[in-house]
Amino acid sequence: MEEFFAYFLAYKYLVYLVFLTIFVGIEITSYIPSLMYAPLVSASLSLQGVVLIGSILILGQANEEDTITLVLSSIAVSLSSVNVVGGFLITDRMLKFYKVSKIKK
Amino acid sequence: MIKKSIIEIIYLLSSIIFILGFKYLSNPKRSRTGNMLMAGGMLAAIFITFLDDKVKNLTWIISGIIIGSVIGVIYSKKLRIQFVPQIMSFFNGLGGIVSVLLCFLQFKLHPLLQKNLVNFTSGFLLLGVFLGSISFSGSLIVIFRYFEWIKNKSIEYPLQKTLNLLLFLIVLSVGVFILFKSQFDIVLLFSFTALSFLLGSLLTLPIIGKEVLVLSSFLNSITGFVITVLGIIMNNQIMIIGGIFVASCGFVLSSLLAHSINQSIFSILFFRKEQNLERILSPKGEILQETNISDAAILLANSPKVIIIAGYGLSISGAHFACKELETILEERGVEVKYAVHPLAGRMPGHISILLLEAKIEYEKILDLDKANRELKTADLAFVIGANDIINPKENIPYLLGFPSIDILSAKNILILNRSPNLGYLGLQNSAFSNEKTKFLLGDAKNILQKLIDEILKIYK
Repeated sequence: MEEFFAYFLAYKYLVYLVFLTIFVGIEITSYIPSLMYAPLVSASLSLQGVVLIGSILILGQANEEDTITLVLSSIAVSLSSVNVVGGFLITDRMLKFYKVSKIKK
Repeated sequence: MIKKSIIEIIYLLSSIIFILGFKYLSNPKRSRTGNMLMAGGMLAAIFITFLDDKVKNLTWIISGIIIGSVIGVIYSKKLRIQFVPQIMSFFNGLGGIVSVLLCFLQFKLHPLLQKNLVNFTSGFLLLGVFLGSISFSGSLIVIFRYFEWIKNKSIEYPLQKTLNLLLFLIVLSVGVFILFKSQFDIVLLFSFTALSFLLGSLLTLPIIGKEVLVLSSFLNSITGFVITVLGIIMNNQIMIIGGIFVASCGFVLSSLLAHSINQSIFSILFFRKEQNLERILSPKGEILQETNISDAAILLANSPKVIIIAGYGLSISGAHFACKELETILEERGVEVKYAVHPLAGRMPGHISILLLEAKIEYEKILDLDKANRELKTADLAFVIGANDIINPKENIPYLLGFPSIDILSAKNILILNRSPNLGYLGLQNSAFSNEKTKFLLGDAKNILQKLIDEILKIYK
């Protein structure tokens, strides 16, 4: 138990960050009209691409002789860049439709 | 020191930009800017990571990014909008599998972890592996369901819940065993992953119908959570914040959708009640009045106010462009045309709206459920294209499913264009089909719409 409190005190800013961000996250996604659900889902999926940063950090730290780590983390890097690039482009494609319908009016 | 703080400042800016991006996204007028902002913030955060002193192996990283980006660009250009739900689940699966990979690599990269496993970090890593595998296998099942590679039926067998619980306990004990074993054992870790994978697919297999929509959003939320966990372990703020935004977005959406079908996420996942659908359903729709193309064309052209109710059938047949063409022709004849889209129509929240917008149908003409039901009271014709469950009168929907439907019976006339008069996705019988006001057109939506357009042009020009 003492260890737990020690952890808590050492990482208290992290705990604050996590909890407050959860509220911000719920707040900014709660008021979206149902017509915008599809782009919202796709935008949040492209945001999943932040794992690319983690993959880059791990691949960057890998030892050059360590082939397994190199290969596995390169796979992670390329898969997560599919997420980032594909996600944002598809969201943009969807959002273009909304734009078109606005101009026509 | 300077480099480190530059990286942190850019991460902070990117997080703020993410928040603004989400805010902008909720407004159709500024949504594209919002997406651009988010993409910009993401790119800045990615490229600033290269500044980190620890980052070496640049050739590997850059070639990995190039390969991934090329695949991403090809995917996004080639993708037909009908298949958006599948690709969304696919992306979510990718996120899940990448996080599992990263958790593995964390074990591998930190020899200290392997010596003394009883601590927060390895516990968190195992949690990440567990949830990441569940998210991956669940997304695969969802994709299979969307492509109808798995029969459109809930897969249930005796003692299902007990067996799932048992499997969960086994996974849990393997996890605890890994933690308390004096030495790191890769075989155990792999079996832990395989078991979590199995648990993920078994949990998601019985889920069908509109519940799949809830499930896919919830899986997004799980992946977001895993990314947050990874961010905490790697002490990387942008991953924590990005992960939490993904998680809360998925959670908000899935609870909104679950609420709209009168259920909660947890009851769908863990406490699925036996719905005894067999009792309510009959093998085929009852008597129906089939009509022909020219009668339907005359009916359409002579109704002052037509409301088109679009469902999943519009999407599989790719009939949205034909739908727009019909709208133009009818409007030339002074018919008022509007669209009603049920929030649960299609296989993904917002799926059908996006399709209609792709065909350049105006945003203002697409009504949501409440507005549609108000407008239908004054409508002369409700024209249903490829929808079934969402237009089913309320009394046919069992309490357990009890979602509000589009009340087409309040319109003066009803014209239904479906592939077959059979049961819908949920396997419920639809009494609107056998109503005396209802006229039926059977066939492929795109094909029939084209014929209707030709017919109207022929008769009235």
